Amino acid sequence: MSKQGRLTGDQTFDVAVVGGGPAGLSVARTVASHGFSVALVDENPHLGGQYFKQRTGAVLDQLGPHRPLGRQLIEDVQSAGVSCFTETVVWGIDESRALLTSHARSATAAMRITARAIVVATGAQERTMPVPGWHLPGVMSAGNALHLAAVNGVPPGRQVLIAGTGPFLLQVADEVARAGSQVMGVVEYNRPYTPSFASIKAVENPARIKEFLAYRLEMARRRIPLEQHTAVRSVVASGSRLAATLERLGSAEPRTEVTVDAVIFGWGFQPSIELVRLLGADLRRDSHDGMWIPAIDQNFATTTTGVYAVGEVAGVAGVHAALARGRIAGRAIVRALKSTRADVSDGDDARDRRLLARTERFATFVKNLYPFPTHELRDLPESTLVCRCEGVPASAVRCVDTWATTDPNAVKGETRAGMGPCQGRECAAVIQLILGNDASPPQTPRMPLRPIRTSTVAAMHSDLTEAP
Amino acid sequence: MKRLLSKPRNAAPSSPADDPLPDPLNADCRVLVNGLDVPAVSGRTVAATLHAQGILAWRTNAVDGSPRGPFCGMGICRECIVTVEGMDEQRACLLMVKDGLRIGTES
Repeated sequence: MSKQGRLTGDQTFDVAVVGGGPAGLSVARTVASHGFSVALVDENPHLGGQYFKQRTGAVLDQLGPHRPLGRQLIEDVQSAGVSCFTETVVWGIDESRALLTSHARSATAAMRITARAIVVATGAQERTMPVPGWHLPGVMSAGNALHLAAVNGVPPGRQVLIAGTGPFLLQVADEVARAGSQVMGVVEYNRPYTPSFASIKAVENPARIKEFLAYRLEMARRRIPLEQHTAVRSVVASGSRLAATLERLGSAEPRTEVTVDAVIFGWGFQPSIELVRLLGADLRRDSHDGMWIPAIDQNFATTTTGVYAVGEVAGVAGVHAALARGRIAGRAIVRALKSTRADVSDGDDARDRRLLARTERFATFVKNLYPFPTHELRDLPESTLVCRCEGVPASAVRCVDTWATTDPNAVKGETRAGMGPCQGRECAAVIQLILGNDASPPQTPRMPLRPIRTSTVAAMHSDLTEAP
Repeated sequence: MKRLLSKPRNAAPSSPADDPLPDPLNADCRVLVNGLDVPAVSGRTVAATLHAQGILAWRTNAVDGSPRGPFCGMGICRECIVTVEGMDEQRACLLMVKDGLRIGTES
């Protein structure tokens, strides 16, 4: 029984899950299979999140399925009777902690969701590293390039350059090349592929090593150069193309220019914590990558009663961790709602916790192998745009520093950085690093969490504003 | 190892505008982009459909007027805003195309 929820008025569920990616799907399936009513809300047109984003329509017909494990999970969720609300934006909460939502394509369709438990599965977004020219058309995130190539069947450009750090760059190179782009090079900031004592730890996850070798083999077959310890220093428009300047780090070699049609940057991922912050959950810093994450217990319950955080929100660790966290939290929620643990398997729980521990250890290993070069932000050229929306350069953010405040909200007020349509999602974490403020989390999220129409708010309150 | 840095391979065939990359997929529908009828592939987003047409930028930044195109591809950066079926402020990366869809861009 598949249910596409209708967006209207007030609706009550046992559990509301925000985010239809691996973690959200996993928790929804677990809870719904025990007979509880579940609302699954996602702003995308289809379930799956970023990792399990599915091919549809003629793309599916012509290229075949993408990540069939995700397809299966989505089907399981639908047949478990979960009420799925796609193209639905969660933009706030009210005083009784109900979720305020609206339809992405409607001026008036709005809904208030009340639930006994709220699960925040809002995933992660890509980290950004400003560089002169990163706002130019044709410069894009690695995730965008992957979606274009793998999910839409569109090559990001005739010739492309991929830069940043992380194993994700190899996967993107592979998919982008398959879609028909010529990958001129993968430019890795760190030196992860030079064998070291630390890399021995990878043997704990043979599946990941196999993936890595497959990507490297494919890159070799396609003659895609891989440069380590190298950075893209700037991107400038060159006719209708882009010229990227490359520098080998700590070397006197002259800089090299490469002209391409798209420059793809990937700098790893950061948890999307806006909603869980809005729900009042205490935050802490992830001890492995310094990212701000909600403080959670062993069942992924936050410090706000009835609010859980699963998947990448609870610390970036990849799809297998997200799935396991979803199952573990799902069982905990079932126990909490039932006040009996009769039909929740402890054996499954123990197995998932072992799997999760192993996956999280591997995630830590990866984070250590591909560290984010925070120090680069201190050397950012003065005119480099930090806030893309409001056009705020690095010099303006640094200026605030000399005026004696590193308070993220004060900096936002002073410079407007983070005040534009993306609401600081692309720059707030970077600003914190530029200011060297690691004691407080980035700018406080404000309602609405996404730009919405005033007509939506009006529709939501129409019951209060009856005509006389 | 040194191929990319020491021997830049800039010998591009020509600029993509003159010589667009052929679409690897066959179109099965059509959409209207600023009134212009263009082929489209169902299952693609509006952003991907424009990209496949060689359109990489379709709005300008409100502060400095610089041209912008999609950056994040997942609904965060809002650099890909379009008007669809008369509704403005829509994220092109989160909207699927369908036959006859009317897409309006700022620039």
